[in-house]
Amino acid sequence: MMEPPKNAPVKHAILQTLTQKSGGAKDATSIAEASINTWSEVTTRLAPIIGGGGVDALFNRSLTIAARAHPWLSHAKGSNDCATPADRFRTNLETRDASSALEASAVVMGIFYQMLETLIGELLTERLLGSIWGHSDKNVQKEHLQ
Amino acid sequence: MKNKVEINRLSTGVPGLDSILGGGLPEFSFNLMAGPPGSGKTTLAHQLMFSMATKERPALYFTVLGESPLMMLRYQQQFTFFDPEKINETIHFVNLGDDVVNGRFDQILARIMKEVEAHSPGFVFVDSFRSIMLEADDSSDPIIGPQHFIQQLGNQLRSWQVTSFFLGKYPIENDSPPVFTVADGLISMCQSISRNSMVRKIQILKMRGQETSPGIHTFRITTDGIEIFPAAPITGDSIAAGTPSKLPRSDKRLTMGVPALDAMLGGGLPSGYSLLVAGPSGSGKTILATAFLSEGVRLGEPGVIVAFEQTPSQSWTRTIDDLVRAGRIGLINTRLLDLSIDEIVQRMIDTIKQMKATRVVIDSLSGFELAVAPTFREDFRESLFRMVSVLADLGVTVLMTSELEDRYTDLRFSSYGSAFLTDAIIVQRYIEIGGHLKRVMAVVKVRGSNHSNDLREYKITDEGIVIGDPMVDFTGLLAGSPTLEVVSEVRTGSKPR
Repeated sequence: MMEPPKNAPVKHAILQTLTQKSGGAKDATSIAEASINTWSEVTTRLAPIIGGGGVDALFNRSLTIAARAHPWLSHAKGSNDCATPADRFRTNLETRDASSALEASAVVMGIFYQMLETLIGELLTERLLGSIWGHSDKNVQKEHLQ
Repeated sequence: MKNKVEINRLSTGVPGLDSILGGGLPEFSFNLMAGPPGSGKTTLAHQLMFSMATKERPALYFTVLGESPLMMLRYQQQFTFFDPEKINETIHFVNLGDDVVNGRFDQILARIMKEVEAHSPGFVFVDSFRSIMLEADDSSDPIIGPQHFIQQLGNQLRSWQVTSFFLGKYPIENDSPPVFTVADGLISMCQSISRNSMVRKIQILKMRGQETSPGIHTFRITTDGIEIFPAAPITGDSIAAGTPSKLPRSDKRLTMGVPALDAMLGGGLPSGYSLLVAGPSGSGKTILATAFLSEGVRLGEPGVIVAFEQTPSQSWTRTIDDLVRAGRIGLINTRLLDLSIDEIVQRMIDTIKQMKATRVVIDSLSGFELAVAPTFREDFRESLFRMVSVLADLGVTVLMTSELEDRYTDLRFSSYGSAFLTDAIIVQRYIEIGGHLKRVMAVVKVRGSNHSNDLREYKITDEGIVIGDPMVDFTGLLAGSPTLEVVSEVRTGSKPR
């Protein structure tokens, strides 16, 4: 069973990106906004390749794993209403304080990234998603090699 | 005078495929790859794509339903041809799953063409095309029907100068679906299972504008991807009794490396001949074969041995092992039990060309028969004929060994009835004289040449085979009941043919 990410360099790069995109991670709303924008980029890159359903399935699984450490995330998983998991994720993040929203968002993305790595390999995952983490992807690669 | 259009044939990069296609894949052709699940369609498509896609001619790979794209990427990465650096550079994956489930033929066509316009690909793959046809055909309000869809898709892709491939489980044996008419090329793939072995087969059923290699060819999937073994061709003129050859035979004779045996053969084995050495277990067939190859090496005539039985580290074959390590002879050593004749012939041709070999040993036909997949065993004799034909066309001199059960009631040289395929035969037997087991050999046939008809005793020593005198004092040796006979006349030991 997959555990929360132990890949510190990736998590660090994700935290950096979210902090940067949210203008310093000062409040939960801007963090939620940055998280959703980042997810949107992930979906844009992956959905044409593995299908929208494939991306949603991985996202839901990431939420399930992350919810072990952050139980409140389980509310973001699919239900009968019309909202997408990403919408619910955003709403959930907005109700938290800035630091726990940032931490939880980075954990979910980290799990997603790690899960993709186990399925299609580090090289291809990096190739498809690496640049989303901005300039940090080169550092991630470097740290991976070490 | 204006020239006729010349179709550019693309090199596929798949070993053996260009050969069976008749020189490569016609540029801008619309091809179908048909076969049941697990037959290797997706692997072939990926191998073609990674080999042919370039920056100027990128590839688009549309995935539809069936195999999960995620899993497809996971598994295809295991092949050495899969280069992740090419993804999103020269190779673009596009998932059509949602479009197919929700869409109609016109919408799917529009989506495919939108991606084609965006990427200007040189190659398009749709995996699986049949999924599109099945799903979209269920649409309740079709604006265009399946036939119209295929027609339009074919026309539009050709107008974009795309070479395209559509994968699917098409019913080849039943009524041909309409897409068969539109397609320029039709590649069929399947697996044949017999007993506990599986053999992969491929056939080019159609390829417009070029002469393809007819019949069924076998292929293997390894970590390097697909390797096709084109069926060994037999030229029309070659189908005649005996060993056929396109090459004029020289008068050269090859020395065997066994003193006295050359004289028994009438001065050595004629170059380009095939020789069958038949005898029971332990009679020294492999030792004779080793001597033949060693003699070649000594004279600067490289050889190749196809070993189906003993491994190079065993007994007499240590000599072979040393020569192989020194790069003086080529070794094809296999214990696989699912070989096709085409695969082994292909390996032989490659090694012969690589070594510039003139001597070839096949040790033994019994092991060869065992190594050939059960599905080919029924045609083993035909397969042997095919192999001998190919080797004859290459101009090499071949020595084949054949395991024989020692019977004293009949005189046979091969359990396959294949003696007629060879130009020369040496038979080895055990006999019992005075409570001792002795070995004898004789030259039974050398086509178009004088040869000895003596039965000669021989010994196997540390130095190899040592042939003794003719056993002129006995009769009934081959019948297993030798009788000492007083012989007064001198036998000449030679008969004209």
